Amino acid sequence: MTVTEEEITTLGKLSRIAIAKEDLDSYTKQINLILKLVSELNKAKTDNISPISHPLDLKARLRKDIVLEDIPLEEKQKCGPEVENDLYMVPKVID
Amino acid sequence: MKENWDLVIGLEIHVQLTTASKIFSATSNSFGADPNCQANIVDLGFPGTLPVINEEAIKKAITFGIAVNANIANESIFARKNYFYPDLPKGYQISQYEAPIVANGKLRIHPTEEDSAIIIERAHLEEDAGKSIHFTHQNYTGIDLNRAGTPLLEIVTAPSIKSSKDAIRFLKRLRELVTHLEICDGNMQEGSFRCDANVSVRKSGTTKLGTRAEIKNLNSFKFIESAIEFERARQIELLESGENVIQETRLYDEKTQETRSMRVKENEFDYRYFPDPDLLPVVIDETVIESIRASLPELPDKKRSRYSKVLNMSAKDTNLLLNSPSTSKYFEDSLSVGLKDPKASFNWITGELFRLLKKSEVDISDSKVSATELGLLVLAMEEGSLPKSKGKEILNNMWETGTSAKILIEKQMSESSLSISDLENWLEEVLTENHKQVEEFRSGKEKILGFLIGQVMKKSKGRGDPRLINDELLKKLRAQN
Amino acid sequence: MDDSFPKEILKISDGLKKRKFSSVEITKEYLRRIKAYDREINSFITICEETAIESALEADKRIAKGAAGTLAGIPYANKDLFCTKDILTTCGSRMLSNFFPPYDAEIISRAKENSLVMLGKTNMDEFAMGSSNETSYFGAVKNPWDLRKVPGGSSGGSAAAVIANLTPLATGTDTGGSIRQPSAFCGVSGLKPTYGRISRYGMVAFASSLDQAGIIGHSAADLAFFLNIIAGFDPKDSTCIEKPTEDYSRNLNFPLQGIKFGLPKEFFKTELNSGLQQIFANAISLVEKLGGKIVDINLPHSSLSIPAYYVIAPAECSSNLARYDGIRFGHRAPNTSNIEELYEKTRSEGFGAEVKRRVLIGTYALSSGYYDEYYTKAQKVRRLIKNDFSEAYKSVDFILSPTTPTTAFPLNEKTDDPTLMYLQDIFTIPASLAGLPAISIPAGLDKGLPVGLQIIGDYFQEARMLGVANKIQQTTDWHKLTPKSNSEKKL
Repeated sequence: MTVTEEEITTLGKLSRIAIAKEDLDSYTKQINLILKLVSELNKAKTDNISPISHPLDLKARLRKDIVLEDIPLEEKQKCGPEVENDLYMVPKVID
Repeated sequence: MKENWDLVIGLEIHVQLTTASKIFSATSNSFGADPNCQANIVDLGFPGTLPVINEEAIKKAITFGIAVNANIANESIFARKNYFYPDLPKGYQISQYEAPIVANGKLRIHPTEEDSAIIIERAHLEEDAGKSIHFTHQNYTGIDLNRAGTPLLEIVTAPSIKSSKDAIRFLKRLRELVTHLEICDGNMQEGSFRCDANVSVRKSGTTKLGTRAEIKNLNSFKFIESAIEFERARQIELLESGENVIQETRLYDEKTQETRSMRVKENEFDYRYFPDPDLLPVVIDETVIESIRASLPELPDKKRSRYSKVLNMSAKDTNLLLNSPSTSKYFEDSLSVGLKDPKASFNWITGELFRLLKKSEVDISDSKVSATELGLLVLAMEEGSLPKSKGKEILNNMWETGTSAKILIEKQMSESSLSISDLENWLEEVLTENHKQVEEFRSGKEKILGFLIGQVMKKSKGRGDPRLINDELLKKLRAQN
Repeated sequence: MDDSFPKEILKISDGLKKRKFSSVEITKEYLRRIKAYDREINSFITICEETAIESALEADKRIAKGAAGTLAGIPYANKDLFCTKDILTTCGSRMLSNFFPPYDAEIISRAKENSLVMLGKTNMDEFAMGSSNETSYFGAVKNPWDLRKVPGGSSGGSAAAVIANLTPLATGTDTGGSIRQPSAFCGVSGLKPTYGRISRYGMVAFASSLDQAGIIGHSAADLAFFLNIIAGFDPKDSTCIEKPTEDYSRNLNFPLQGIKFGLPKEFFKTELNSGLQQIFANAISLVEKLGGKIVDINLPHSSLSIPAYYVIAPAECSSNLARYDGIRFGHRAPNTSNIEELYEKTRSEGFGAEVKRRVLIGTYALSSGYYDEYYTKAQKVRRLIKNDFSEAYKSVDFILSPTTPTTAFPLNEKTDDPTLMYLQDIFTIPASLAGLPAISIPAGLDKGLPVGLQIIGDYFQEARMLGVANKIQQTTDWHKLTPKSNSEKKL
């Protein structure tokens, strides 16, 4: 399975990573090398095997429905690059 | 033209669960906090933070599943739905995909009609996203993440609803159910009960589904009905002029009452679902399901049946009471004082009490007049110790001052009753006019006193205090001896 | 006051308790060394001089009161992947080059409770992706044994700092070998515990089902003492195991008599140079001399470990890294005119090339049409690999292998093929996929560069595994070897 430059560009869009035109060729080649490595998986016979969800096959632990105290707002928001009136600001979102 | 087309509707309802904390974090799950004051570092998706499942959300989902006779999954899985939007902090929503917690349930549109049942294909748990506030003139958007992480139960029906009216009926039934189960408060204005409609049309008599459009942003029954109707007309027009309906998401505009296309982005719909590796499969065994089943509150249809058969309430009146579980509870509590006629209580509740509640903007569960107090008031009118004409005044007094029904009724009776001198004339008249009964009394038939009291009450047009009349009559009757 | 401090944890602890020296003194000495030598090695991103001395003062008070545990007052360093409250946490990335977390990772909290003294945050491959510590935004780390060579990765900074004597202990993280491989390259001991043994809360996620916190130090014994402090259940991490912990130092004198050690046939299909082969053979002989029995075992699907890993890890990482969008924390591209531009520019500027590659691969593996072929398939193969180990552990107690196929390779080995680097992990990845505990300990030098011996245990066998390692270290001096360097003074 190989990918084309176009597909790499699409993947970039899906993951919101812009790939510069000059880098597209090397990214495509590199990713195809990785896919070649990964294609070894096709050799495995996995007909009656279920995929792993957790290395130790454990099941979910549920927590009690209790509210716990939080870190003060200022401490969280001082990490925010653009905060105004306690809102996280972003440039125009087109709906 | 339009008679050749069948409408096909499938609904997706997002129900916000009334847990104390959010589904994957221990933040408070209440409505209306100041921006970002109810979003902790887990909700904000800070690096290194991790989700932990709230057991109450699981229980509420199971409760719903039981109430609609659905299958509860023995093992259900949380999956990541990956997409980018600023109100989605982690860049993915934790939801369920291949193994939802509830599947294959049914809910009847008409309670007594089996074939009005709509199949609920699945109901799954997921977290809500935050809110975007668009400052359009400044080209900026502000993000409030208070709602991020709120537990949602997404309920998906089969595409088997055939009319917009049925869609509304179904939604009302669903809302009634989730509120009575106490898993959701049903408040559409606050966004606790949100609906998306998948609408398509097909030529009558065919079975192949047409291309559907998904309509979002519907937060009232009125808009839902209007949107579905607009969509039906739009699709039919397209198809009849030889064009195709595009599968897309559309938004409803309440001002124009039309739906319009949302911008469709390339590859927008590849959510790349995979099981969330931070969470493990949720195992639900039979004992848990049975214990939840045993403690289910009375379901609305059972209440409905009871109100009709035992209390002789009409369907219309029952529906009004079942509009909210606190109303039906209030109603039933009011009956506990021993009322013979539930309809009387119903009238007072849905009439004067509702008026008072609305005026004070208070929910019936916070009513200043308790159900038993109201019940006592209605009982007094039923028994005749309070004239019906006085009921409204007393109820309002109880509301304003918090005084008990008993005290106010007694006060009313003593105030409205006549003084002895007022009574004198009527007493004399009755004794004179009912000569025969007076003789009977004197010859030992003491029970005839009741008749004489009644005669005085008649003359006084009900204003007399029966006990006072009783005493005075006795005095007179014995004196003349 | 003697100006040379011991390196072994128990000896430092003893010295502190007996007031031979104070925590402030030993902390200041390590800080001095870091300032003097780290410029060459670049193992630290952040040095916490003020807070370290404050913590040392507090520790000394506690020790004086007699209210302190074994590790109180002992300096250590944290890989920059762990969130440290109000202290810069970069994950080796431009994306978090300005990130001051408002909270501590769970293991940091536990270390604080036990009065350890944090010297600083160590350098690492960006977001833990890499095997050479060359992808860090803050520059490559150099191997103290040979500054032209890599220290390994992604916990390269931690491993280098320990061997250069800039800290006696350091935390690391291991997803496919990121503790064990740099430990091997740097000649130190590094432990990856059973998956779920240590809380991942506050440990920035790369590949959630593989990531584990771990420890790097001079000896297995030292690792045991630190493991005692950080292991155990944390309700904030759903993948953290409730199974009670034990005293991981209780088995340090574990007798190897009759213990069976498996050698996976499939591992030895990889060509090792003669030096490595010899060293490994020596290690095996030693184990036999100590009473261990060597058994040939099969791990039939281990050749599929790398392909499976390079689907699963990138897939999980592509999702875990979606939160970096410049909105609530981290780097934000300036002057963008709409949200899509903000996303693309922020992420393109914030992430390095290796991270981008893995995000793209991961996105591909999860996308519709490819999900079954890649992700599901890889998770099925993972179960086969796990089953292989379960089968093997029916006949052996531990599994031995070289930790890496080569010794430290040169920095800046330019290549257009990223997969060559991936093959470094050939011996370490299988245990990661299965979630098994594993340790790398020094086994000697090949042409002046350290070689690591890997011991893989069955689930929750950390105590006995550390015991095996300790036994080897009691009998040899491999773990005491340090780089010969003119500028290195005896600490």
